[in-house]
Amino acid sequence: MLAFLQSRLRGESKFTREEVIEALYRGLLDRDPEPPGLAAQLAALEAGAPLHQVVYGIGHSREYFEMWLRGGDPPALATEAWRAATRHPNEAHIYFLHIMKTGGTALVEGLSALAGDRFCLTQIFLDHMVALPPVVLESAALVAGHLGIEAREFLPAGTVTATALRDPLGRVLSHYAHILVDPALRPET
Amino acid sequence: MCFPTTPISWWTRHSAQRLKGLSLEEFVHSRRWRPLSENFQARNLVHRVGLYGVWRTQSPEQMLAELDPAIRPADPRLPLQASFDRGPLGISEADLRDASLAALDSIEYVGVSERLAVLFSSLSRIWGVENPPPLPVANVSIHRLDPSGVPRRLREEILEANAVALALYEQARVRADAAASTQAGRRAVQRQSAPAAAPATTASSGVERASDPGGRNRSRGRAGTAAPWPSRLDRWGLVLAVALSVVVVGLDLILSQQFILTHLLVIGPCIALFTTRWPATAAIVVAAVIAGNLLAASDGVWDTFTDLSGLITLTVVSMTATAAAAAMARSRVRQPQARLYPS
Repeated sequence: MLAFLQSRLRGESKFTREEVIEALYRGLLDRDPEPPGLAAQLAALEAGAPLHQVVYGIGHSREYFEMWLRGGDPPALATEAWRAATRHPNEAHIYFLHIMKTGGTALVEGLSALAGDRFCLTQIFLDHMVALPPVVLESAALVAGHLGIEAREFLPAGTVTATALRDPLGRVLSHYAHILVDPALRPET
Repeated sequence: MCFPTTPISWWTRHSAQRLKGLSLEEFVHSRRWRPLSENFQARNLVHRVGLYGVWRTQSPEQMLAELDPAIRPADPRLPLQASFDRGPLGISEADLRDASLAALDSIEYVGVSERLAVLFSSLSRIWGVENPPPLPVANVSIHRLDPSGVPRRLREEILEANAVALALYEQARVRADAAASTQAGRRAVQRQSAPAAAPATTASSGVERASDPGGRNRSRGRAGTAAPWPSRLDRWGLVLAVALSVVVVGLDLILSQQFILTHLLVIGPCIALFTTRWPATAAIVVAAVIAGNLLAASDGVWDTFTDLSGLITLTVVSMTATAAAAAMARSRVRQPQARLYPS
Protein backbone atom coordinates (compact mmCIF):
# COMPACT_ATOMS: atom_id res chain seq x y z
CA MET A 1 0.00 0.00 0.00
CA LEU A 2 2.79 2.34 1.00
CA ALA A 3 4.73 1.48 -2.14
CA PHE A 4 1.62 2.22 -4.17
CA LEU A 5 1.18 5.59 -2.51
CA GLN A 6 4.88 6.34 -2.95
CA SER A 7 4.66 5.58 -6.64
CA ARG A 8 1.73 8.00 -6.79
CA LEU A 9 3.86 10.61 -5.06
CA ARG A 10 6.60 10.19 -7.62
CA GLY A 11 4.12 11.46 -10.16
CA GLU A 12 3.39 8.09 -11.70
CA SER A 13 -0.36 8.59 -11.52
CA LYS A 14 -3.17 11.01 -11.08
CA PHE A 15 -2.96 11.34 -7.26
CA THR A 16 -1.38 14.56 -6.13
CA ARG A 17 0.57 14.94 -2.91
CA GLU A 18 -2.33 16.94 -1.44
CA GLU A 19 -4.70 14.09 -2.18
CA VAL A 20 -2.42 11.54 -0.55
CA ILE A 21 -2.07 13.68 2.60
CA GLU A 22 -5.81 14.25 2.70
CA ALA A 23 -6.42 10.49 2.38
CA LEU A 24 -4.04 9.80 5.27
CA TYR A 25 -5.76 12.37 7.50
CA ARG A 26 -9.20 11.03 6.68
CA GLY A 27 -8.15 7.42 7.12
CA LEU A 28 -6.13 7.83 10.31
CA LEU A 29 -7.65 10.87 12.02
CA ASP A 30 -11.13 10.85 10.49
CA ARG A 31 -10.97 14.49 9.40
CA ASP A 32 -9.64 16.74 6.69
CA PRO A 33 -6.20 18.21 7.30
CA GLU A 34 -6.11 21.74 8.69
CA PRO A 35 -4.27 24.16 6.35
CA PRO A 36 -1.13 24.47 8.52
CA GLY A 37 -0.95 20.69 8.95
CA LEU A 38 -1.35 20.10 5.24
CA ALA A 39 1.28 22.71 4.47
CA ALA A 40 3.73 21.18 6.94
CA GLN A 41 3.28 17.65 5.55
CA LEU A 42 3.64 18.89 2.00
CA ALA A 43 6.76 20.79 2.92
CA ALA A 44 8.21 17.65 4.48
CA LEU A 45 7.52 15.65 1.34
CA GLU A 46 8.94 18.42 -0.84
CA ALA A 47 12.08 18.33 1.28
CA GLY A 48 12.47 14.63 0.46
CA ALA A 49 10.97 13.00 3.54
CA PRO A 50 9.76 9.46 2.74
CA LEU A 51 6.04 8.85 2.90
CA HIS A 52 6.35 6.28 5.67
CA GLN A 53 7.79 9.00 7.87
CA VAL A 54 4.67 11.11 7.33
CA VAL A 55 2.43 8.14 8.10
CA TYR A 56 4.49 7.35 11.19
CA GLY A 57 4.17 10.96 12.36
CA ILE A 58 0.40 10.95 12.04
CA GLY A 59 0.11 7.48 13.57
CA HIS A 60 2.12 8.54 16.62
CA SER A 61 0.49 11.92 17.13
CA ARG A 62 -1.32 12.75 20.35
CA GLU A 63 -4.57 13.13 18.41
CA TYR A 64 -4.30 9.65 16.93
CA PHE A 65 -3.46 8.15 20.31
CA GLU A 66 -6.42 9.82 22.01
CA MET A 67 -8.72 8.67 19.24
CA TRP A 68 -7.44 5.11 19.55
CA LEU A 69 -7.84 5.17 23.33
CA ARG A 70 -11.45 6.29 23.11
CA GLY A 71 -12.20 3.80 20.34
CA GLY A 72 -10.29 0.99 22.02
CA ASP A 73 -12.55 1.07 25.08
CA PRO A 74 -10.26 -0.20 27.88
CA PRO A 75 -13.18 -0.84 30.29
CA ALA A 76 -14.68 -3.23 27.73
CA LEU A 77 -11.34 -4.98 27.41
CA ALA A 78 -11.12 -5.43 31.19
CA THR A 79 -14.70 -6.72 31.28
CA GLU A 80 -14.00 -9.22 28.54
CA ALA A 81 -10.82 -10.43 30.24
CA TRP A 82 -12.57 -10.80 33.59
CA ARG A 83 -15.54 -12.68 32.17
CA ALA A 84 -13.26 -15.04 30.26
CA ALA A 85 -11.30 -15.76 33.44
CA THR A 86 -14.45 -16.53 35.44
CA ARG A 87 -15.50 -19.07 32.81
CA HIS A 88 -12.41 -21.16 33.63
CA PRO A 89 -11.95 -20.50 37.34
CA ASN A 90 -9.87 -23.55 38.25
CA GLU A 91 -7.35 -23.50 35.47
CA ALA A 92 -3.76 -22.44 35.96
CA HIS A 93 -2.74 -19.43 33.92
CA ILE A 94 0.08 -20.03 31.47
CA TYR A 95 3.01 -17.72 30.92
CA PHE A 96 5.05 -18.67 27.87
CA LEU A 97 8.47 -17.10 28.12
CA HIS A 98 9.13 -16.87 24.42
CA ILE A 99 12.81 -16.70 23.54
CA MET A 100 13.32 -15.33 20.04
CA LYS A 101 13.89 -17.87 17.27
CA THR A 102 13.17 -20.98 19.26
CA GLY A 103 9.96 -21.94 17.48
CA GLY A 104 7.75 -20.24 20.05
CA THR A 105 5.52 -18.54 17.51
CA ALA A 106 4.25 -21.91 16.29
CA LEU A 107 3.58 -22.95 19.87
CA VAL A 108 1.73 -19.71 20.67
CA GLU A 109 -0.36 -20.00 17.52
CA GLY A 110 -1.17 -23.59 18.41
CA LEU A 111 -2.24 -22.59 21.92
CA SER A 112 -4.23 -19.63 20.63
CA ALA A 113 -6.10 -21.97 18.32
CA LEU A 114 -6.95 -24.20 21.29
CA ALA A 115 -7.84 -21.34 23.63
CA GLY A 116 -11.51 -21.12 22.69
CA ASP A 117 -13.22 -18.50 24.86
CA ARG A 118 -10.14 -17.95 27.03
CA PHE A 119 -8.58 -14.50 27.02
CA CYS A 120 -5.05 -14.56 25.65
CA LEU A 121 -2.34 -11.91 25.50
CA THR A 122 0.10 -13.06 22.87
CA GLN A 123 2.90 -11.39 20.95
CA ILE A 124 3.14 -8.62 23.51
CA PHE A 125 6.35 -6.86 24.43
CA LEU A 126 7.58 -5.46 27.72
CA ASP A 127 6.53 -1.96 26.69
CA HIS A 128 2.97 -3.24 26.37
CA MET A 129 3.04 -5.33 29.51
CA VAL A 130 4.01 -2.53 31.88
CA ALA A 131 1.24 -0.36 30.43
CA LEU A 132 -1.57 -2.91 30.69
CA PRO A 133 -4.16 -2.62 33.47
CA PRO A 134 -3.52 -5.29 36.13
CA VAL A 135 -7.01 -6.75 35.68
CA VAL A 136 -6.26 -7.51 32.05
CA LEU A 137 -2.87 -9.01 32.78
CA GLU A 138 -4.12 -11.08 35.69
CA SER A 139 -7.19 -12.39 33.86
CA ALA A 140 -5.34 -13.70 30.83
CA ALA A 141 -5.30 -17.48 30.52
CA LEU A 142 -2.21 -17.23 28.35
CA VAL A 143 0.43 -14.52 28.34
CA ALA A 144 3.16 -14.98 25.75
CA GLY A 145 5.96 -12.77 24.57
CA HIS A 146 9.66 -12.03 24.75
CA LEU A 147 9.15 -10.86 28.31
CA GLY A 148 11.89 -12.57 30.26
CA ILE A 149 11.82 -14.13 33.70
CA GLU A 150 10.99 -10.91 35.55
CA ALA A 151 7.54 -10.75 33.93
CA ARG A 152 6.41 -13.64 36.13
CA GLU A 153 6.20 -11.24 39.03
CA PHE A 154 3.40 -9.34 37.26
CA LEU A 155 1.26 -12.45 36.86
CA PRO A 156 -1.09 -14.03 39.40
CA ALA A 157 0.16 -16.57 41.90
CA GLY A 158 -0.19 -20.08 40.53
CA THR A 159 0.68 -19.10 36.98
CA VAL A 160 2.74 -21.84 35.37
CA THR A 161 5.70 -20.82 33.26
CA ALA A 162 6.80 -22.54 30.08
CA THR A 163 9.68 -21.96 27.73
CA ALA A 164 11.42 -23.60 24.79
CA LEU A 165 15.12 -23.62 24.08
CA ARG A 166 17.02 -24.33 20.91
CA ASP A 167 20.49 -25.48 20.06
CA PRO A 168 22.48 -22.23 20.25
CA LEU A 169 24.09 -22.50 16.83
CA GLY A 170 20.77 -22.96 15.06
CA ARG A 171 19.21 -20.17 17.09
CA VAL A 172 21.97 -17.68 16.33
CA LEU A 173 21.83 -18.45 12.62
CA SER A 174 18.06 -18.12 12.64
CA HIS A 175 18.25 -14.81 14.49
CA TYR A 176 20.78 -13.54 11.97
CA ALA A 177 18.56 -14.61 9.06
CA HIS A 178 15.58 -12.98 10.74
CA ILE A 179 17.35 -9.66 11.15
CA LEU A 180 18.19 -9.58 7.46
CA VAL A 181 14.57 -9.80 6.41
CA ASP A 182 12.94 -7.75 9.17
CA PRO A 183 12.58 -4.13 8.12
CA ALA A 184 12.51 -3.00 11.74
CA LEU A 185 15.87 -4.58 12.49
CA ARG A 186 17.88 -4.20 9.34
CA PRO A 187 21.30 -2.69 9.78
CA GLU A 188 20.37 0.16 7.46
CA THR A 189 17.58 1.38 9.75
CA MET B 1 42.54 -25.29 5.98
CA CYS B 2 39.94 -25.55 3.27
CA PHE B 3 36.41 -26.70 3.96
CA PRO B 4 34.10 -28.09 1.33
CA THR B 5 31.10 -25.91 0.72
CA THR B 6 27.98 -26.19 -1.40
CA PRO B 7 26.82 -23.40 -3.71
CA ILE B 8 23.76 -22.90 -1.54
CA SER B 9 25.68 -22.59 1.70
CA TRP B 10 28.13 -20.28 -0.01
CA TRP B 11 25.23 -18.15 -1.13
CA THR B 12 23.67 -18.06 2.31
CA ARG B 13 27.01 -16.96 3.76
CA HIS B 14 27.86 -14.35 1.20
CA SER B 15 24.67 -13.00 -0.35
CA ALA B 16 23.57 -11.48 2.94
CA GLN B 17 26.77 -9.51 3.17
CA ARG B 18 26.31 -8.16 -0.29
CA LEU B 19 22.61 -7.47 -0.09
CA LYS B 20 22.08 -6.13 3.40
CA GLY B 21 25.43 -4.96 4.63
CA LEU B 22 25.62 -7.35 7.58
CA SER B 23 27.67 -10.51 7.46
CA LEU B 24 27.32 -13.37 9.88
CA GLU B 25 30.80 -12.56 11.15
CA GLU B 26 29.70 -9.03 11.99
CA PHE B 27 26.56 -10.31 13.65
CA VAL B 28 28.63 -12.56 15.86
CA HIS B 29 31.55 -10.21 16.54
CA SER B 30 30.26 -6.64 16.55
CA ARG B 31 29.34 -5.04 19.85
CA ARG B 32 26.04 -3.89 18.42
CA TRP B 33 24.69 -7.35 17.70
CA ARG B 34 26.55 -9.39 20.30
CA PRO B 35 23.77 -9.23 22.92
CA LEU B 36 21.55 -11.10 20.44
CA SER B 37 24.15 -13.67 19.45
CA GLU B 38 25.89 -14.35 22.78
CA ASN B 39 24.07 -16.46 25.37
CA PHE B 40 20.81 -14.79 24.41
CA GLN B 41 18.76 -17.64 25.83
CA ALA B 42 20.48 -17.28 29.18
CA ARG B 43 19.80 -13.55 29.08
CA ASN B 44 16.08 -14.24 28.80
CA LEU B 45 16.22 -16.29 31.98
CA VAL B 46 18.18 -13.91 34.17
CA HIS B 47 18.04 -10.34 32.87
CA ARG B 48 16.06 -7.99 35.07
CA VAL B 49 15.46 -4.41 34.07
CA GLY B 50 13.45 -3.35 37.10
CA LEU B 51 9.99 -3.63 35.60
CA TYR B 52 8.30 -2.36 38.78
CA GLY B 53 10.16 0.88 38.44
CA VAL B 54 9.06 1.52 34.88
CA TRP B 55 6.68 4.50 34.71
CA ARG B 56 7.15 4.92 38.47
CA THR B 57 10.73 5.95 38.84
CA GLN B 58 11.98 5.90 35.25
CA SER B 59 10.70 5.92 31.71
CA PRO B 60 11.70 3.41 29.04
CA GLU B 61 13.14 6.25 26.99
CA GLN B 62 15.46 7.13 29.87
CA MET B 63 16.49 3.52 30.20
CA LEU B 64 17.26 3.32 26.52
CA ALA B 65 19.19 6.58 26.59
CA GLU B 66 21.44 5.11 29.27
CA LEU B 67 22.44 2.27 26.97
CA ASP B 68 25.80 2.35 25.26
CA PRO B 69 25.17 4.03 21.87
CA ALA B 70 27.10 1.20 20.22
CA ILE B 71 24.36 -1.30 21.12
CA ARG B 72 21.36 1.03 21.07
CA PRO B 73 18.93 0.21 18.23
CA ALA B 74 18.54 2.90 15.61
CA ASP B 75 14.76 2.67 15.62
CA PRO B 76 13.71 2.23 19.25
CA ARG B 77 9.99 1.83 18.87
CA LEU B 78 9.96 -0.48 21.89
CA PRO B 79 12.53 1.10 24.19
CA LEU B 80 11.86 -1.12 27.20
CA GLN B 81 12.07 -4.26 25.11
CA ALA B 82 15.28 -2.98 23.53
CA SER B 83 16.76 -2.33 26.98
CA PHE B 84 15.90 -5.87 27.99
CA ASP B 85 17.22 -7.45 24.80
CA ARG B 86 20.44 -5.48 24.60
CA GLY B 87 21.24 -3.96 27.97
CA PRO B 88 24.33 -5.20 29.81
CA LEU B 89 23.85 -8.21 32.06
CA GLY B 90 26.58 -7.10 34.40
CA ILE B 91 27.49 -10.57 35.68
CA SER B 92 30.30 -13.00 34.97
CA GLU B 93 29.77 -16.03 32.77
CA ALA B 94 30.00 -18.33 35.79
CA ASP B 95 27.29 -16.37 37.59
CA LEU B 96 25.21 -16.29 34.41
CA ARG B 97 25.47 -20.04 34.19
CA ASP B 98 24.40 -20.62 37.79
CA ALA B 99 21.60 -18.08 37.68
CA SER B 100 20.16 -19.20 34.36
CA LEU B 101 20.28 -22.90 35.26
CA ALA B 102 18.51 -22.10 38.52
CA ALA B 103 15.91 -20.08 36.62
CA LEU B 104 15.38 -22.93 34.20
CA ASP B 105 14.84 -25.26 37.13
CA SER B 106 12.15 -22.95 38.43
CA ILE B 107 10.20 -23.13 35.15
CA GLU B 108 7.49 -25.75 35.24
CA TYR B 109 7.34 -26.65 31.54
CA VAL B 110 10.52 -26.74 29.49
CA GLY B 111 10.77 -27.89 25.89
CA VAL B 112 13.15 -27.76 22.98
CA SER B 113 12.50 -26.49 19.48
CA GLU B 114 12.88 -29.83 17.74
CA ARG B 115 10.34 -31.44 20.07
CA LEU B 116 7.95 -28.56 20.41
CA ALA B 117 4.95 -30.84 20.04
CA VAL B 118 5.81 -32.41 23.40
CA LEU B 119 5.66 -29.04 25.13
CA PHE B 120 2.49 -28.17 23.24
CA SER B 121 0.89 -31.39 24.37
CA SER B 122 1.85 -30.74 28.01
CA LEU B 123 0.43 -27.22 27.95
CA SER B 124 -2.72 -28.35 26.16
CA ARG B 125 -3.47 -30.67 29.06
CA ILE B 126 -3.78 -27.67 31.34
CA TRP B 127 -6.76 -26.69 29.22
CA GLY B 128 -8.13 -30.21 29.21
CA VAL B 129 -7.06 -31.08 25.67
CA GLU B 130 -5.48 -34.54 25.60
CA ASN B 131 -4.66 -34.90 21.92
CA PRO B 132 -3.94 -31.49 20.42
CA PRO B 133 -3.76 -31.10 16.64
CA PRO B 134 -0.39 -30.76 14.89
CA LEU B 135 1.37 -27.48 15.46
CA PRO B 136 1.23 -24.94 12.65
CA VAL B 137 4.35 -23.77 10.87
CA ALA B 138 4.98 -20.16 11.79
CA ASN B 139 7.63 -17.49 11.56
CA VAL B 140 10.21 -19.65 9.85
CA SER B 141 12.98 -17.53 8.35
CA ILE B 142 12.84 -17.62 4.59
CA HIS B 143 16.64 -17.40 4.36
CA ARG B 144 17.52 -20.29 6.64
CA LEU B 145 21.21 -20.90 6.99
CA ASP B 146 22.65 -24.37 6.94
CA PRO B 147 24.94 -24.74 9.99
CA SER B 148 27.20 -27.06 8.01
CA GLY B 149 27.81 -24.22 5.56
CA VAL B 150 29.22 -21.97 8.28
CA PRO B 151 33.03 -22.00 8.46
CA ARG B 152 34.25 -24.19 11.30
CA ARG B 153 36.10 -21.36 12.98
CA LEU B 154 32.99 -19.19 13.09
CA ARG B 155 30.86 -22.09 14.22
CA GLU B 156 33.23 -22.73 17.09
CA GLU B 157 33.20 -19.06 18.03
CA ILE B 158 29.41 -19.06 18.14
CA LEU B 159 29.37 -22.13 20.35
CA GLU B 160 32.06 -20.67 22.58
CA ALA B 161 30.07 -17.47 23.00
CA ASN B 162 27.03 -19.56 23.81
CA ALA B 163 28.53 -21.98 26.31
CA VAL B 164 25.90 -21.12 28.91
CA ALA B 165 23.09 -21.37 26.36
CA LEU B 166 24.42 -24.79 25.39
CA ALA B 167 24.31 -25.96 29.01
CA LEU B 168 20.74 -24.71 29.26
CA TYR B 169 19.80 -26.43 26.06
CA GLU B 170 21.26 -29.74 27.23
CA GLN B 171 19.25 -29.51 30.43
CA ALA B 172 16.14 -28.59 28.46
CA ARG B 173 16.64 -31.62 26.25
CA VAL B 174 16.76 -33.94 29.24
CA ARG B 175 13.51 -32.49 30.52
CA ALA B 176 11.87 -32.65 27.08
CA ASP B 177 12.89 -36.30 26.72
CA ALA B 178 11.41 -37.07 30.13
CA ALA B 179 8.18 -35.30 29.21
CA ALA B 180 8.00 -37.21 25.93
CA SER B 181 8.44 -40.52 27.74
CA THR B 182 5.72 -39.62 30.20
CA GLN B 183 3.36 -38.65 27.41
CA ALA B 184 4.14 -41.78 25.42
CA GLY B 185 3.40 -43.91 28.50
CA ARG B 186 0.14 -42.07 29.11
CA ARG B 187 -0.91 -42.56 25.51
CA ALA B 188 -0.06 -46.25 25.64
CA VAL B 189 -2.33 -46.58 28.66
CA GLN B 190 -5.05 -44.67 26.80
CA ARG B 191 -4.71 -46.95 23.80
CA GLN B 192 -4.98 -50.03 25.97
CA SER B 193 -8.04 -48.72 27.75
CA ALA B 194 -9.64 -47.53 24.50
CA PRO B 195 -8.49 -49.91 21.75
CA ALA B 196 -11.16 -48.65 19.37
CA ALA B 197 -9.71 -45.14 19.33
CA ALA B 198 -9.49 -43.70 15.85
CA PRO B 199 -6.05 -44.24 14.28
CA ALA B 200 -6.10 -40.68 12.90
CA THR B 201 -6.14 -39.25 16.43
CA THR B 202 -3.05 -41.10 17.57
CA ALA B 203 -1.26 -40.59 14.28
CA SER B 204 -1.55 -36.84 14.65
CA SER B 205 -0.60 -36.68 18.31
CA GLY B 206 2.35 -34.60 19.33
CA VAL B 207 4.44 -37.34 20.93
CA GLU B 208 4.49 -39.62 17.94
CA ARG B 209 5.33 -36.77 15.65
CA ALA B 210 8.03 -35.52 17.95
CA SER B 211 9.62 -38.93 18.36
CA ASP B 212 9.78 -39.35 14.60
CA PRO B 213 11.77 -36.43 13.28
CA GLY B 214 11.50 -37.76 9.73
CA GLY B 215 7.76 -37.84 9.92
CA ARG B 216 7.73 -34.45 11.56
CA ASN B 217 9.80 -32.96 8.80
CA ARG B 218 7.55 -34.44 6.20
CA SER B 219 4.50 -33.09 7.91
CA ARG B 220 5.78 -29.62 8.67
CA GLY B 221 8.15 -29.06 5.82
CA ARG B 222 6.39 -30.43 2.81
CA ALA B 223 2.82 -30.96 3.74
CA GLY B 224 2.63 -28.11 6.26
CA THR B 225 -0.50 -28.36 8.38
CA ALA B 226 -2.13 -30.97 6.19
CA ALA B 227 -2.63 -34.27 7.99
CA PRO B 228 -0.92 -37.28 6.45
CA TRP B 229 -4.26 -39.03 6.13
CA PRO B 230 -7.52 -37.44 5.02
CA SER B 231 -9.55 -35.96 7.84
CA ARG B 232 -13.01 -37.33 8.54
CA LEU B 233 -14.59 -34.45 6.58
CA ASP B 234 -12.26 -35.07 3.64
CA ARG B 235 -13.02 -38.77 3.69
CA TRP B 236 -16.75 -38.10 3.58
CA GLY B 237 -16.20 -35.64 0.72
CA LEU B 238 -14.37 -38.28 -1.29
CA VAL B 239 -17.02 -40.90 -0.49
CA LEU B 240 -19.73 -38.48 -1.61
CA ALA B 241 -17.86 -37.71 -4.83
CA VAL B 242 -17.52 -41.41 -5.68
CA ALA B 243 -21.09 -42.18 -4.63
CA LEU B 244 -22.62 -39.46 -6.79
CA SER B 245 -20.47 -40.52 -9.75
CA VAL B 246 -21.75 -44.07 -9.33
CA VAL B 247 -25.33 -42.75 -9.15
CA VAL B 248 -24.82 -40.85 -12.43
CA VAL B 249 -23.39 -43.97 -14.12
CA GLY B 250 -26.27 -46.06 -12.78
CA LEU B 251 -28.90 -43.59 -14.00
CA ASP B 252 -27.29 -43.37 -17.40
CA LEU B 253 -27.29 -47.15 -17.72
CA ILE B 254 -30.91 -47.36 -16.57
CA LEU B 255 -32.11 -44.56 -18.87
CA SER B 256 -29.99 -45.96 -21.70
CA GLN B 257 -30.24 -43.85 -24.86
CA GLN B 258 -33.11 -41.67 -23.63
CA PHE B 259 -30.74 -39.37 -21.76
CA ILE B 260 -27.01 -38.89 -22.18
CA LEU B 261 -25.64 -38.07 -18.72
CA THR B 262 -21.91 -37.98 -19.46
CA HIS B 263 -21.73 -34.26 -18.62
CA LEU B 264 -23.03 -34.94 -15.13
CA LEU B 265 -19.93 -36.97 -14.29
CA VAL B 266 -18.19 -33.66 -13.52
CA ILE B 267 -19.97 -33.77 -10.18
CA GLY B 268 -17.41 -36.22 -8.76
CA PRO B 269 -14.29 -34.12 -9.44
CA CYS B 270 -16.14 -30.93 -8.43
CA ILE B 271 -16.99 -32.33 -5.00
CA ALA B 272 -13.57 -33.95 -4.58
CA LEU B 273 -11.78 -30.65 -5.18
CA PHE B 274 -13.17 -29.26 -1.91
CA THR B 275 -11.21 -31.86 0.01
CA THR B 276 -8.06 -30.17 -1.44
CA ARG B 277 -6.62 -33.67 -1.93
CA TRP B 278 -5.47 -33.35 -5.49
CA PRO B 279 -4.24 -36.93 -5.95
CA ALA B 280 -7.65 -38.23 -4.89
CA THR B 281 -9.33 -35.66 -7.14
CA ALA B 282 -7.14 -36.73 -10.04
CA ALA B 283 -8.01 -40.39 -9.42
CA ILE B 284 -11.70 -39.55 -9.52
CA VAL B 285 -11.10 -37.54 -12.71
CA VAL B 286 -9.49 -40.55 -14.40
CA ALA B 287 -12.33 -42.80 -13.27
CA ALA B 288 -14.91 -40.27 -14.51
CA VAL B 289 -13.30 -39.99 -17.96
CA ILE B 290 -13.11 -43.78 -18.31
CA ALA B 291 -16.73 -44.06 -17.18
CA GLY B 292 -17.73 -41.34 -19.67
CA ASN B 293 -16.18 -43.30 -22.53
CA LEU B 294 -17.84 -46.53 -21.45
CA LEU B 295 -21.20 -44.80 -21.11
CA ALA B 296 -20.82 -43.27 -24.58
CA ALA B 297 -20.27 -46.74 -26.02
CA SER B 298 -23.15 -48.13 -23.98
CA ASP B 299 -25.46 -45.30 -25.11
CA GLY B 300 -24.48 -45.81 -28.75
CA VAL B 301 -23.16 -42.27 -29.15
CA TRP B 302 -19.45 -43.17 -29.38
CA ASP B 303 -17.46 -40.79 -31.58
CA THR B 304 -20.43 -38.50 -32.18
CA PHE B 305 -20.66 -34.77 -31.49
CA THR B 306 -22.64 -35.51 -28.31
CA ASP B 307 -19.94 -37.87 -27.12
CA LEU B 308 -17.09 -35.51 -27.89
CA SER B 309 -18.76 -32.45 -26.35
CA GLY B 310 -19.55 -34.43 -23.22
CA LEU B 311 -16.04 -35.81 -22.89
CA ILE B 312 -14.39 -32.46 -23.60
CA THR B 313 -16.55 -30.76 -20.98
CA LEU B 314 -15.83 -33.55 -18.51
CA THR B 315 -12.09 -33.43 -19.17
CA VAL B 316 -11.77 -29.64 -18.98
CA VAL B 317 -13.87 -29.29 -15.82
CA SER B 318 -12.16 -32.26 -14.18
CA MET B 319 -8.65 -31.05 -14.89
CA THR B 320 -9.57 -27.59 -13.64
CA ALA B 321 -10.92 -29.18 -10.47
CA THR B 322 -7.65 -31.09 -9.98
CA ALA B 323 -5.59 -27.95 -10.49
CA ALA B 324 -7.86 -26.04 -8.11
CA ALA B 325 -7.50 -28.78 -5.48
CA ALA B 326 -3.71 -28.58 -5.79
CA ALA B 327 -3.80 -24.76 -5.54
CA MET B 328 -6.07 -24.90 -2.49
CA ALA B 329 -3.75 -27.42 -0.82
CA ARG B 330 -0.78 -25.14 -1.40
CA SER B 331 -2.55 -22.08 -0.05
CA ARG B 332 -3.69 -24.07 3.00
CA VAL B 333 -0.13 -24.79 4.11
CA ARG B 334 1.17 -21.28 3.52
CA GLN B 335 1.65 -19.26 6.70
CA PRO B 336 1.98 -15.53 7.06
CA GLN B 337 5.65 -14.50 7.35
CA ALA B 338 5.52 -10.77 7.72
CA ARG B 339 5.89 -9.48 11.26
CA LEU B 340 6.85 -6.09 12.48
CA TYR B 341 9.04 -7.37 15.25
CA PRO B 342 11.15 -10.47 15.78
CA SER B 343 9.45 -13.37 17.38
